[in-house]
Amino acid sequence: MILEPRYSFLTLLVGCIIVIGNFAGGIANGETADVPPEVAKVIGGLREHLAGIDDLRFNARLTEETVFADTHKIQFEGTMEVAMKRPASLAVDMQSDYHNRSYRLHEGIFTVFDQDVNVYVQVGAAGPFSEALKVIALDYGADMPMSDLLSEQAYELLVSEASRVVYIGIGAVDDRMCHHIAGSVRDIDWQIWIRSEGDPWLCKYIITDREKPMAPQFVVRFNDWEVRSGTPEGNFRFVAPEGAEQIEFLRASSGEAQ
Amino acid sequence: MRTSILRTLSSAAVITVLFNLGLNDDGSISVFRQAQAVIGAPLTPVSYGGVARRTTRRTVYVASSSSSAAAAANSAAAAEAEQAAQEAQIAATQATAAAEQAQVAAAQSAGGTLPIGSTVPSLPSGCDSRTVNDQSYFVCGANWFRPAMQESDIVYAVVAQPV
Repeated sequence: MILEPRYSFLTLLVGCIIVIGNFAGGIANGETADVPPEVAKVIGGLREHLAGIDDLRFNARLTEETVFADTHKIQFEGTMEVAMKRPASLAVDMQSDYHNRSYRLHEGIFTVFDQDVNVYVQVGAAGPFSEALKVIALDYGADMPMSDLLSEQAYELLVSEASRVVYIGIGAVDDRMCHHIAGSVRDIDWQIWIRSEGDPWLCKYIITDREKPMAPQFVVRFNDWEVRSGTPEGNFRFVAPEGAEQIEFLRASSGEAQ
Repeated sequence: MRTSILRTLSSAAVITVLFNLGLNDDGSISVFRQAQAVIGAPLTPVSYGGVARRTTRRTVYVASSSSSAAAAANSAAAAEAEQAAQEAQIAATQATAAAEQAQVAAAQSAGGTLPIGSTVPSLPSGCDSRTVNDQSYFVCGANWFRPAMQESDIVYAVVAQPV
């Protein structure tokens, strides 16, 4: 019922892609009768576009809100550079107000490098992206935003359980015209923008958490999508910087070191 | 289960990865950094929320696997029951972890020796850094610490004195 994600990883960004893939798959299978035809067409177009790409990179800007003392909204920003290549190579570099990290998944080895402390961890995470994610999340509790959307329930999460899915229209996002689609799943609102001209890349993604006071939002603006060919595998391989020290990755349940 | 899944969509879930935000006792905001926060301090609302979200995230993965099996057996009720049991188990694990953290905090505040394997989010002031066998350690009173990654945070694990 749920299409196997073609791209799956540990970040919201890639999670968005998977969401789109699953979402469109469900529509194509006719499993959601109340999804507007414009939505099915737009998201289906994105999924079809992504399905034919094996080597990809993009950038994103992230804005994160949190609420302090239920009344004070605070905002943080960050950027991500993402590169991925089938079957299971991925590189993510994150810079934010307070955190700088690199993630690598290559040849079954998952690495997190914390640039601020100059330490890194490595664990085995073999198999396709989705399997590697499960190992990382279940065994190590690594906090990979929205990685659960890679689960088999991603489609149910956004579509089957949605109380509303609507096509808003075509609006400008960073000077590009994009289809605007919105959905609501219980206390969570999601919005997706997909380019309406040229290749149907993701433009923007917003999650609004109505369950929390002041409804904090998480916003991702995508840019610089680039289809590549023959990206060297070395680009995904982690090479420890001079002086970086490998540390233990504590298992999630027991608190014991790997 | 549905609530658990939905919570993982929360925008706040990203905070622990990107920003490691912490709230000080006086209500001011800080970022957990090495030797910045106070050892043994109670879990802040944000960090506690992060733990809860991460626990939820693991729950989702478990739920995903169990749901697939249940679907194959055409037994949604069994999947729900299993899911409830798994969530209860995770909740119990979380409670145990909180209790252990409280013990660590109590021991630290008393200046005592912490149990090997326990972790603290940051080092207290006055620690000495040592390098033994090409590995970095921090010596804080009677305790030896090694940095480690726990979930998405850098923490400090109490280890035996290296030889």
